[in-house]
Order: sequence, then C-alpha cells, then structure tokens
Amino acid sequence: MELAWLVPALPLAAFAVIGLLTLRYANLSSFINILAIGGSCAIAWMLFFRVLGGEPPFEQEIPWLALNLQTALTFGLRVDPLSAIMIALVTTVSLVIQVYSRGYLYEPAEEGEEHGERHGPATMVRDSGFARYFAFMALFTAAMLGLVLANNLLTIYIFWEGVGLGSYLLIGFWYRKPEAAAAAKKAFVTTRFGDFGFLIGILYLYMQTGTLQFARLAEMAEQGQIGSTVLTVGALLIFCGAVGKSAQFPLHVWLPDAMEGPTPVSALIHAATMVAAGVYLVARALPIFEHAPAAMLVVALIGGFTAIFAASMGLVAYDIKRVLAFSTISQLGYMMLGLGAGAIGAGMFHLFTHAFFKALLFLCAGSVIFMLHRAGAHDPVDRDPLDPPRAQDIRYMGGMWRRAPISAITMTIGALSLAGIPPLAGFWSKDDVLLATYERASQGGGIYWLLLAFALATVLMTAFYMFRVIFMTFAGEHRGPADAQHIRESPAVMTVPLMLLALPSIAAGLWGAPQLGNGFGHFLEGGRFHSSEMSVGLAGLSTLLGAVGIGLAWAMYYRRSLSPETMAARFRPIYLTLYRKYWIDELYMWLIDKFVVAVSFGINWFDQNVIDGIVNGLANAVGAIGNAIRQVQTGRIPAYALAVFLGLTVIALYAIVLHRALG
Amino acid sequence: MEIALLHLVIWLPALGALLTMLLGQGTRARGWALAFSGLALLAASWLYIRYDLRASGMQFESSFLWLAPIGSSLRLGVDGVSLPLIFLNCLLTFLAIVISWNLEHRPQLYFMLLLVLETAVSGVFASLDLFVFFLFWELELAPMYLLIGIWGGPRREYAAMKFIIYTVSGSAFMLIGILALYFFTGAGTFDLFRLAQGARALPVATQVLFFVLLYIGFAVKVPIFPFHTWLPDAHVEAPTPVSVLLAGILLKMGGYGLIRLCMTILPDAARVLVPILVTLAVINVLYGAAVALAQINGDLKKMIANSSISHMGYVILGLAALTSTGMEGAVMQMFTHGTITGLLFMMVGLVYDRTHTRMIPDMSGLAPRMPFIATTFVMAGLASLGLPGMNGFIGEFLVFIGSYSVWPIPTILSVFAIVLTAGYILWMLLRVFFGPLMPKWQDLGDATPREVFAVATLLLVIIVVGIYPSSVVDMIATGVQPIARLFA
Amino acid sequence: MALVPVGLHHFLVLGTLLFCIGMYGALSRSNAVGILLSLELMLNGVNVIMVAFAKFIDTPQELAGQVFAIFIITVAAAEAAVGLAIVIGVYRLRNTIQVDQIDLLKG
Repeated sequence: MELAWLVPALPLAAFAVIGLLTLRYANLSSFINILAIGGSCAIAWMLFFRVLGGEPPFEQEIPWLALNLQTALTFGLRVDPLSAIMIALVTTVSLVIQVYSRGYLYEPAEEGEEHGERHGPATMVRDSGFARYFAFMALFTAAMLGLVLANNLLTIYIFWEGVGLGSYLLIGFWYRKPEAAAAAKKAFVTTRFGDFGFLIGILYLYMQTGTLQFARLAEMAEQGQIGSTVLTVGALLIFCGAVGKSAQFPLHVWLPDAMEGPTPVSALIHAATMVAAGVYLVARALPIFEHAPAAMLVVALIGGFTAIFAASMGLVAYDIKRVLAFSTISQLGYMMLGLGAGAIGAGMFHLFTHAFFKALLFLCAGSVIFMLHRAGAHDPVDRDPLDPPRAQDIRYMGGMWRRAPISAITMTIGALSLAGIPPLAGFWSKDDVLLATYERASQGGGIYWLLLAFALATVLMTAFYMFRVIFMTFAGEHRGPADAQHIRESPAVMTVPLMLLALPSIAAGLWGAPQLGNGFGHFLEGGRFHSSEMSVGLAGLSTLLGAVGIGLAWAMYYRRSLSPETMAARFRPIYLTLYRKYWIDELYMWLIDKFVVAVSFGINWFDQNVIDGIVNGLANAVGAIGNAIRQVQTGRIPAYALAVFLGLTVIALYAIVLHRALG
Repeated sequence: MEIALLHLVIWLPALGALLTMLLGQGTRARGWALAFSGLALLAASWLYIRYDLRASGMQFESSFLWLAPIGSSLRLGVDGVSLPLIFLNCLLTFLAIVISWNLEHRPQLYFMLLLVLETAVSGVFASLDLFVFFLFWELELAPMYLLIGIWGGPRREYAAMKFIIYTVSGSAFMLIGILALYFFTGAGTFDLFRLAQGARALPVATQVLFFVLLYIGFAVKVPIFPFHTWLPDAHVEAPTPVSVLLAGILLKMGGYGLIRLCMTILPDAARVLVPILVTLAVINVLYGAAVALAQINGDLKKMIANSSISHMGYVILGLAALTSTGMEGAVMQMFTHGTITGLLFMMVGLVYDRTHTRMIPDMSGLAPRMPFIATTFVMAGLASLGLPGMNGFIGEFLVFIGSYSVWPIPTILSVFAIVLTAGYILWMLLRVFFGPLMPKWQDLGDATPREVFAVATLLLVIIVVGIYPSSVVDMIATGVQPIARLFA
Repeated sequence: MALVPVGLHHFLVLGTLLFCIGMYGALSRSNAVGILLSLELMLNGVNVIMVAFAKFIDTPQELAGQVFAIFIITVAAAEAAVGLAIVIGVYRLRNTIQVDQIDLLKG
C-alpha cells in the first residue's frame, strides 16, 4: 500500500521527462508515457486486489501548507474501495488509449495541396506535436489519479485544477485551429465557474468544521457535529465544482466544443478523467450530501434534467463525436441522478461501466475518422460553419461495415451497451440507477417520480441516437468525399485496443449484477449496502424502451420507412431548437458580451476618464494656475526694477508708520 | 560574519554602482553590474539559508547611532516578512541585469541606476528605523524616475513625471506621519519598536490619523484604488527590465510598509480601519480584473499592469483579515506575485522585442514561431490565474482561508476574480499565440539562451514554491506571528 | 533776503533729488547705457548724503561717511565696467540694447 503515491507520480514523472528532455524524440516519448502509465496501472491493479482482498483503508499524508506556526494543511492520499476502483479504471482506460494514440496521431501529409482540392487517399504522417501530446496525456492522467487518491479537499482541489489544465492543453492541442484554441479556453473558463463555488465550499467547510479530511468530515456529519445548514451549503458549493467538471446543466456548454481535441483525448476526457471527476467528487463527499437532503435533491434534479436535456440535443447532432459528447453529458446526468438518489453504488457503477463503453465508442469514432482522413476525406471550401468537418459528419459516411468490420462490430457493442441492452455492461449499471431512483421515489419523494420518467425517456432517446449513428456510419453506401475504395480498417495498434475495450463493455456489468451478488455494490459500500433485488419490471421496461429506440433508428435510418428529413421539416421549431443546442451558447455569449465585457469596458472608461481624469485634471489645474501667475514674469528689467522700487516704498512707508505707531 | 551578511546584501550593489560609475565605461558596465548583483544574490541566498526558522523576531540585527541629535540609528534586521522580499529583490535585479545585457543606450548610467535601486529597495525592507526607512524609500525614487524617463517608450516623460509626482506626494504624507509619530510619542527616537510602544499610549483618534497619513504613502505604492492610475502608464512606458522590477518588487514596498509600519505601530487604528481596507481590497481585486479584461483589444502590457492591481488587492485583503493566516497569505502573495508578474512582464518584453508591437489584436498564432516563449508565457499565465502547482495558488489560497473566517462576503467577491483572471489571461493567450499565424510574423525567432536562462530561473522558483510551499511559507509564518499576536 | 547758511538739509535735499532723478531714469529709460548712467546718478546721490552726514553729525575724527563714499565710487566704477561689458555682450548677441526687447527671462 505504501506504493500508492507512485500511481500518480509515475505519469507525472513521465510528463516532466518528456517535457524537459525528450520532446524531440516522438517515439521515445510515447514509450516513456506508455511505460509510466503501464507501471502505474500495474501498481493500481495490485492495490485494487489488495483492497478487494479486505485490506483496511490506507491513508498517508504529509504537512504541506502551514497556516501559521501551529497548524498546517496536509497533502494526503487515501486508498479505499472507492479510490481503488477508480485508479484501476483510470490507469487501464488511459493505458489503452495511450497505445491507441500511437496509431491515431497521424495526419494527412500536406503535399502542397490546396484546401478542398485533394482527392484520393492521403499519405499519413506523424503529427508534429506527437511527443507534446504524450507529455500532456501523462500530465492529464497523473492529475486524475492524484484527484481520485486525494484524502482531503485541498489535495483534491489541487489535482482538480490539474485536470482542468490537462484538458485545456489537450483540447487545444491543435492550437493552430482557432476553434480548438477557443474550445480549450471555453472548457477552462467554464469549469472555473464551477471551481469558484468549489473553492468557496472548501473555505466554508474549513471555517465551519476546522478540517478538510474526507474521513473526518464524514465522521463529523455522521455524528451530527455539523449543523444541517452547514452541510447543505457546503454540499451545494462542492456540487458547483462537480457541475462544472462533469458538464452538468447549466455548465455543460464546454463539453461539445471540447470535441475539437484529438479523438483519443475525447475518449480519455469522457471515459475516465475530467468528467468523471465531478461524479467522483460527489461520491467521495457523499457522507456530507447524505445528511443534507436538500442538497441530494438538487444533485438528483440537476442529474435527471441533464440526462434528458443532453440526450435531446444528441438526437439531431451530425458530428459523430458530438453525438457521443451529448451522450456523455446525458450519462453523467444518470450518474448524478444515482448519487442524488442516495445510491453511491449505482452512480459509481454506472461511472465504471460507462468508462469502458464510452472509451470504446470514442476510439471507434476516432478509428472511423482516421480511416476517412486516410481515404482522402476533405472539407469543401464553403462548408457551413455550423456543420462539422466532413470526416466527422455522419451524413457523409455510410457503408463502412464491410470495409472496417472490427471498428463496426466493436462500436455496435459499445452502442448496445450504452443503450442498455442486456446482458451488456451498460444494462446492469443503468438499471441500478433506475432502481435507485425508483426506490427513492417510492419512499415518498414525489419529484423523484418525475426524474424516473426523465430517466426512462432518456433510455429511449439514447438507444435512438446511438443507432442513428451506427446506421448512418456503417450501413448503406458511402456518401462522403472520401474515396470509398480506399477505406480500409485501421492498423492493429488501434483495433487491438478496441477489442480490448469491447470485452469489459460486454462483461464488466456482471460484477454488479444482482443475480451474481452485486459484488460491486458490496465492495464499495461495505456493510451499509442497501440496494435490494433487481426489479424485473423496471429492467424489462427499460430494455423495451431501448429496443424501441433501436427499432426507431432502424426504421428511420436503415429502412428509411420514416424520412428523417420530413420529420425535421415537420417539427422544424423543435428540430432547430435541438440543433442549436437550445441557443444556450448564444445566450451565454450574449451575457458575457453584454454584461461582463460591457461592464469591463465601462469600468475601463471610468478608470481612464474619471479617476485618471481627476488626476490629470489636478495636474492641469496646477499648471493653469502657474501659467496665470507667470504672466507677472515679463522678463523686462525695468519692470522688475519698478517692482523693486514699489516694494521698497511700501516697506519704507510701513516702517515709518510702524515707527510712528510705536512712538 | 552573520551580521555583516545583511550589510553585504544591502551595500554590495551600492559599491557596485560606485565601481560601475568609475570604471564601467560603455558596455563594461554590465559586467560590473552583473558581478555585484550576483554577489548580492549569493549573499541574500546565504542569508535565507542561515535564517533560523525556530526563532521569531528580528535576526541579523545591527545598529549604530548615526544621527544622535534626532536619535536616529542605522538599525537593520530581517524577519520572515522582510527576508523573502529581500531575496526576491536580489533575484529580480540580477535577472533584470541579465535581460538588459544588450542595452545600447547609455549602459553605464543604466546599470548604475539598477544597482542603486537594488540597494534602496533592500534597505527599505531591512531598516528598523523610520528615518532610515524613509531615506531608503526616497532613494528608490530617483533611479526609477530616470530609468523610466530615459529608457522608456514614447510617452516616457509623462509616465515618469506621473510616477514621481504620485509617489512623492504619497511620501509627503508618509513623512508627516513619521514625524508626527516621532513628536507625539516623545520617544526621542525613530526606532520602530520604541515608536510602536510609545504609540500605544496615544488616543485612538490620533492613531487613526497617523495611520491614514502613513497609509496614503503606502497606498500609492501598492497601488490601492483610487491611487492606482500611475501604474499602467509607468508600466506601458518603462523598458522591460524596469517593468519587471517595478511590478515585481517596488509594489511590494507598499504592502510591506502597511504591515511593518501601519499595523505594527498602530494596531488599534488598524482595527478601526479594516472595514475600509477590506472594501478597498475588494474594489482593487475586481476593478483591476475588469480593467485588465477591457484591454483585450489593447495593450498587452497594460493588461498585465492591471492584473497586478487586481492581485495586489489580495495582499490588502489578507492584511485586513488581521489573522496570522491572512497576513501570512498577504506576504506570500507579495512574494509569489513578484515572481509571477516579473515573469509575465519579461515574457511581454520578449514578445515585444520580436514583434515591436504590444497591441493584442496585431498578434495571432505566434506559438509555432516561438515555442519556448509561448510555452513559458502560458505557464506564467497559468501561475497568474492561480493554478495549483504554481506558487500563485499558495498566496491566494492562504489569503482566502485567512480572510474568509473574518470577511466572508468580501472574500467570496474576491474569489470570483479567479474566474475573471482565467478569462482575460486565457483570452489573451488565445489571441496572441494560438490560431492561424499572421504572415507578417513569419520570420520571428525564439528566445536566446540568455533569455531562456532568465525565464527558466523565475519559472523554477514559481514551480518549486508551488509544489513545496514550506520553503517560503514557514519563514513567513515566523515573521507574521508577532504582528498577528497584536490583534489576537 | 537773509542768507541762510548751507546746512545738512540742503545736502539731503540735493542727494535725494539726485537719487530720485536717477531712480526715474533707471525705471523709465529703455536704453541699457542710459540705465547704467542713471544708476551712477543714484549712487552719487547716496554719496552726497553720506558725506553730508559725516560732515555735520560725526566728529571730524570719524571718517566712516567719507570712506563709504569712496568705497561706493570704487565699486560703482567696477560695476559700470561689468555692466558695460554685459551691455556690449548683449549688443553683439542681439543687436540691440533696448532692455524692453530683452526678455529672455519671461516666464
């Protein structure tokens, strides 16, 4: 257990080594990265099995920041079931993604072609930022690992911001593209809004309780040493941070834009790091939430609403990655709903299975994009800025089933899992969330019934939009600018990770299956495990909804018995609202433009004209007075002499008068 | 030997200035300047290492009566508050000399003035006699005035004049305050601690008056709203190394004066006035951030200058908490801000040396042309927006945690500035370094090894302190302890 | 008409008249040489008064008034020399000795 610090330290060291020494050696850098993450993966699994074997939680900390001569805040880590699952998950998914990235990070060679005029297959050359990419990936992974291992709020905040940094660097990896650089900034600033609340929450809890240790806080909450107002306020403030990082409504806007990063980055962000951090934070701080019912309700409400809200936007998106991004937001909403219903097991279980199949889906999408790039997909010069690039636009795909069977099969597995079709992993965890919500609702929470309805509707929508993507990508004839003859399966360095991830996407759910004893829940929650038997009715209903969704997608996008175009035309206002993401981006831009920026310019004007105006006015007034007085100084000697004479006369008269007066 | 060490730190640059003046014709001056500021830096580092963390109060003290008729002694000493700032001063001056290496216009005078400035600032931080303090304080003005006025940009005369008139007006009030303390306490001495003892006996209203007099002098320097408008002008016109020193260390003299003079001598007045101080601190933080944000279509240097105003607001917030954590955070924030903003100005200078413009809209996509500068600029920006792992976070976090328990609402308002800061810093980086490269910047080069050295040194300090804050915080904790006890 | 013996008052009136005429000249002339001449007149007015006081009030042994007068004459000579040199210098520079045209000190 003493080796736990190595888990984040190894990738961090890899980041430092690549950044400082081997930035010029692309291959070497990627191997350093894979070696480091592989090493920490091995340690993480060892720790996981030891915790699974029943070892008690392990904590280790050092004093880090002295608040004064007496007290110091600590920097510490904790290995318990929750963090053990997370480190194993993060390192595994990350490792697979690193390997995949070695194949993915190639770009079409720019052989002097003009934009949009190239036809036919492209030669793929290694991206010029190859080594930089692996350095950032190592940093990102290290930050996430530090985050999950943290044993107090300060430590978690440090790595929390580190995750934000990693995402900033990776989303903006192709910084020459203005969209990528802007998306990176948007991700950082939006999540910082959440962090603002989180940081205040830390200050607030520290002031109220005098500790930042999770274990101590849980203990105090348990024993009722913290007032319920404090718990509620503290929990809600912490939840602000989670809303930002986990892209929950209303701070979800950064995540679709974050698709500008390389696809494996999206896979990492969406599966195991970054967005999972918010859910993990709530799970970690759940003892605080549990004693604050109002906060729990807020978590569930935000989660449930985000689930259906994001799924609705996913229905109409054309960018293969954006569909997945909306699906992530939606699934994170599920996890929050599970946590908000009081079931840490349900929320975390969904996080666990989701990590595998979402990583798989993204890597498959990446594989598709890679194949299309290689086959010469290019953008026309007059592409509508609202449209995605052609290589990512599902309207310009199709027919890839035969040419890329591995990607097609694995992606379908991922989609089935996400749609919650038994017995794949997603079915079990999604069912767990539904069940937790149902139980909470039947214990007399009226609003939870609504949330359950939301969750069930989301199941239908999820299945629909995922299979819409599957059918449009793989079925039918190829419709895009790429040369269909040259589409062929991605190299093994990419397909093997897909197959590796497909396995847990199928089977990982069995660990939490009630019929097999729900090992996951017992492991995570120990003695206080409360989820009851599986509800066959609920499971059947959700499976049915999933099947209906798939069937609908089949009818619309495969059989074409229902024309999507007609539907879009008939329900045009709804379609447009969804397609423009409810205009929330526009609203925020408007608010920032008209409020923040305008106020700033107003204050700047005030500064320049009023404050500095007073200062310069004073200076000018002094100058003007001087100017007036200096007129006396004519420069002509007779005038001076006259002044002297008059002065002397006055003095003389005064002297005489004074003399007289004094007698 | 130990006692001589502090004198070495202070007087070595003065000696260097003398030698530069006598022997350093032309570019030979830079060699002398580098040698003597390097020696001073070594001495300061040694002092830092030899500082006893277990003792509180002044160390390396020495005193000799040099103006017996008015009872003023050359009394010098350092504690955990002043030593990090002295070290910062020596470090930044050394690096400023490194980055001015290729200066062509009147190098002899320039390097001499930099060394005089170093002596003056170290002297301010080390003097424990208010008369000597004031002498050093004023000694700092002349070199700064000339450095801006001779080597500055197109509006240098305006900026230099504004700087000197603002500061001298401020110090006039300060001088009245010091003299008032001298006469009213009747101690017959300018010794800081004896004045502090004497001042306890004064009525609170009198103390408040004296506090305000001293405060005006320091508020101009920090600068605190509404005495801040000299700063952006001075920065925009000052040459890069002078900006580094101005933002990096000269502003800290104001914060230092507040804690060392105002709060130590007049704690009762401080208690009365903190609500006003807190209000001004919050205004500084948000107002500075807003004005910095408004520079997004304007001058890069002006943006950084206004971010300095914003960040110095945290110093005032920490001080106004009157808790040991808050004060520790304030001093730490001074140290960290000195390194970060020094680095930022250095980076702006490097960009300007290449593009000859500082207007943000004129630049775009510079990163591929200057990868080192872009990388380090991003790191400096991240440090400035308080990213954990860099030292900026340490200062801000300590200030927040120290002040939240006393001033929750002002602290929350100030914390909001972390969002604004992230906004303007990242927006600026986006516009300057990312996106498509403008054709006219096709031929720009990256940093030279000399510049890399200067930048990397500061970055190293920023990261080491960010990861291992105890290296500085522990020392500061010993320094603020006696002052915080006055308010316990 | 009885002859009044010439006394102190006569000398004082004469000295004052001389001084005032000189003063008027110094203030009203615009020619620098004229001003210098007027200054001489003023100084001589003072000299007359000095000597008169010495003659009528002091004992004959005390020669303070006479000494002062001689001192002033000496200094006046030197002053005239310097003054004329300046006037010549100004003339060379500016081609005029009209003092109302020489106003470099104008603020």
